[in-house]
Amino acid sequence: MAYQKHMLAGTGIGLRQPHVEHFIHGTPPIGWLEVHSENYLQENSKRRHQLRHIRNDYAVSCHGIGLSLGSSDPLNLNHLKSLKSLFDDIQPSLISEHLSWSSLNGRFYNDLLPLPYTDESLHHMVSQVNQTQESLGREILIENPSSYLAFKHADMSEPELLNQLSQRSGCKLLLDLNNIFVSCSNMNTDPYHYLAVINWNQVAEIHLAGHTVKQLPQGEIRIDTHNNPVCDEVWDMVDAYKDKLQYIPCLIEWDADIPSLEILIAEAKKAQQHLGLTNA
Amino acid sequence: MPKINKDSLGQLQAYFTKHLTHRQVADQERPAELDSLPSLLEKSHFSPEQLINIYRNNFVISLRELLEQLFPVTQALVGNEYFTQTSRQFINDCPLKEPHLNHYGGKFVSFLDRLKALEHMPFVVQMANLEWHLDRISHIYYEPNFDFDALAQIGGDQYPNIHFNLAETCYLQSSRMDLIALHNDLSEPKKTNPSTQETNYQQQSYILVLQNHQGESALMPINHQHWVWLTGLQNGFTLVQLCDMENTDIASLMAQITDWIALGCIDGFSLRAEFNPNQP
Repeated sequence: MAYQKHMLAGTGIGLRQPHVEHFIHGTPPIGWLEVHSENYLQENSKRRHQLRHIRNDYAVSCHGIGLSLGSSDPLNLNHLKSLKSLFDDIQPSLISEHLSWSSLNGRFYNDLLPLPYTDESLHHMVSQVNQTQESLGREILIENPSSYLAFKHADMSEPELLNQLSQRSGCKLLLDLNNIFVSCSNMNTDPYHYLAVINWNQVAEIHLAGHTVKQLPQGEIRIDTHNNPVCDEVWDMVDAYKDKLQYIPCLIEWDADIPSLEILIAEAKKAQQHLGLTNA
Repeated sequence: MPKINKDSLGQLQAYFTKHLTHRQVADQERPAELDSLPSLLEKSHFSPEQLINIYRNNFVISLRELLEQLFPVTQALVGNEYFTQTSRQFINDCPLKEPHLNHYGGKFVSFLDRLKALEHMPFVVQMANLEWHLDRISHIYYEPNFDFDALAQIGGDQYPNIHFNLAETCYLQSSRMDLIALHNDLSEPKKTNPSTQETNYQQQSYILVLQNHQGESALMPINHQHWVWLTGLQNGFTLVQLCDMENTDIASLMAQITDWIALGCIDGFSLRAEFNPNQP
């Protein structure tokens, strides 16, 4: 199917089911849309049909959560095949996955689980990303996850691993500033140091989202819930790195307690203002 | 205590998943391997169990919420406490084997069907099955395009050998309970009204689940004769065989078939030379 050409640029939002009808019956003012690949795998589904319709009016990126690239299991070739079929159909501008794992011995855990940042993990991820890119015939982006714990026997930091992975596999990076803030807060490290280490030449997409602060007896921990507006500290990070960020497609993610489309669009406009893409 | 060296990603992931799926049971000894993972974690002011619990909650709660969303009436039927307990048991005993959730609800119905506690309440499993197909059918993309021109080309002498296809957006279910009344009452509980007669749910029911013209799935009560015809179509019977089953004539049956085509229940037809009961 030939779609009209659309540039994936400026700010976009994650397309969620409660808002789909708005995009079927109109063209709300937003730069581009991102979908969760796993929600659109079934070829004869209503969702896939709706996405084809919407794809005519918007550039779309496909964000996956099921490839489990960091798992010591072999890559799930059936899933890869389904994804390729989706990508051939929808022709997304970008395809992304995570620096994490979610399955072992064929069992899936429906969450992004943490990797130890070791040489072994790096080699494994390079191999998995290479195999994925070869199967798909195009490059993918890898996103930094939110972390709640770290492993003792790390050989490198997360941004160092991402830089190495990108350099060795040719993949690009999807930098989630909220995830950086959540992980750094939970690990008591400096998010600005993370941003200083990352190789910005490889960053092809930015995610912004909200999170939840949970009180435990020993103190607070930040949970990546995607159910709130972007917090002030993350906007401060955006302001500090505006010069680099304004040329990179930026997405507002909101996955739970989903607000009205107007609120999401307002959040995307706020991002544009912070990035200096529109007048405040 | 088992040791892990830094080059054993698979072993670390095995320890991690052991923690994710471990259920604390009072009289059950704690497996020794559960002591391995905490020793591999960086020090934190939170306990290893608290940190791993964040991942466990993400995994278990996301699946439980999916089941609650798919089976609200079943949940109302068995009560929140039993539903939560059963969901937890299902998530533990029937691992998710796919990187997406498209078939997970169907597996929950099969799980309920195997529970001894529900043996004497078959209507619970029947309701869950009904809800599963309501959801499944709502996701199918379907555009009625019955080929009336092709049907008009069929000579009258060939009518007995026509087989009409039941659309994939239809599902048939029978029960000794009035499942539709039960579904309606539990979906939208009636306001208390002393003059309203109590519904007698102990009635045989025949149900057609179908996608209506608005693209939504709906429940439609049908009578016994329609049930026999539609299940006959499902089993590959020709018109003449359907007539024999209910002792009717082709003209009467064709009038009914026309109604079902209009409803979107029949999406095509084929001609069968002769009927082989072993190969419908």
